[in-house]
Amino acid sequence: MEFKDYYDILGIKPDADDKAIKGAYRKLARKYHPDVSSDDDAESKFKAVSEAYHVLKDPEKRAEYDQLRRYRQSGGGQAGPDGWQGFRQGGGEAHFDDAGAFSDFFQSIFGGGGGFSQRGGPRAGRDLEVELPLFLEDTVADTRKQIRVGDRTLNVTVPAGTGDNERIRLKGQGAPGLDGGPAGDLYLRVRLVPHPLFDVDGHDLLVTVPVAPWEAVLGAKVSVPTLSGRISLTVPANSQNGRRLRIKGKGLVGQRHTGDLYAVLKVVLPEHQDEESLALWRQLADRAGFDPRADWEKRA
Amino acid sequence: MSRLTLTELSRRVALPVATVTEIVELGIIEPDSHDPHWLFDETVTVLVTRAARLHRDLAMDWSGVALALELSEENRRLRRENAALRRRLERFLDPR
Repeated sequence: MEFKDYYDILGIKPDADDKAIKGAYRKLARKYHPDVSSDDDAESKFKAVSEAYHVLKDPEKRAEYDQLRRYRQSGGGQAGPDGWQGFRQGGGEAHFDDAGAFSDFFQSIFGGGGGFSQRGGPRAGRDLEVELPLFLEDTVADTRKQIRVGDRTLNVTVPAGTGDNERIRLKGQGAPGLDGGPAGDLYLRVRLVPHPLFDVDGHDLLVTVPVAPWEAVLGAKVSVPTLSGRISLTVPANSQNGRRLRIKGKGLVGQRHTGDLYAVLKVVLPEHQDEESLALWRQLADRAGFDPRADWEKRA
Repeated sequence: MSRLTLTELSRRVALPVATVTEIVELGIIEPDSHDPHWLFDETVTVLVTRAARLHRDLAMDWSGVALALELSEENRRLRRENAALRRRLERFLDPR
């Protein structure tokens, strides 16, 4: 089992006083609190910080831990010093909830199940929230999904039209109740997975469609993908770069209304042009007499 | 979807009624209906639990919790929006 240096975890010296310990904890807890942090590893970092603080703020636990730490530094290896057996978690301090069980390392020193359960009669289990990644294609019709929560596998039907950030409630699938209390609920918070072709804007979808310069000028019919098959799109003549063309009803299915798909035109040049093509471009340049920067600098 | 009274909500989140009342008054959660008593959508339990964790773990008062939750939600929304706009921009700048 890996030794945990609680002082290192809190970034303090081994002779730090209570005020320094508390200050370091507060700062790191704010940084890594899973309810506010955007750090991918926030939860495990927060648990480590909480565990370190839980030990170091308590003079009795700290003394025991310090003894073990000194023994280890003097080359004592894994076994504890003479007479060291670890003491058992006595009081039922209502502090850490079921998600916050401490590490095996902590339990090997201080014993206990690591959970700091509250005392006093049946209590409902905590409601849990987990993210449910969903492909855009999954939102078109009711979709069955398998999710893993802890060591359980759950089957969920995600209704058609479920949008980003929406919550799906699974009754009784949260944390188990205590002393015979009912289990909490599990909430799945939907996260639409970024799509290789489509971007999401509310209920609308956007797809960037490359067009040749002559297609933008002369107009064209182009084949465009949607979430439900391809369609033929008319690019009107004289379309500027970035023009948005609306394809009604081909956006995300919503519970109240269905969004639209916007094709955003992107004019692209051929990578290679032969001499003949270049001659034609030169001819066009002479013929068009077009200065795209005529008004441009007047804006400055 | 069934809704919870103030007392039922307090029991569900294991907090005193006075604390949940303060959480409502600070706008951390909003009742669905006020007439004649507060009724809450069940999904608010997740928010209350999150608020209670911040209150406990960071030793914040409830108005600080309200601010932290509001700012972190805004931060999260902006990050997602920023990522989405970046993706759109990259698609447009990609020469293919």
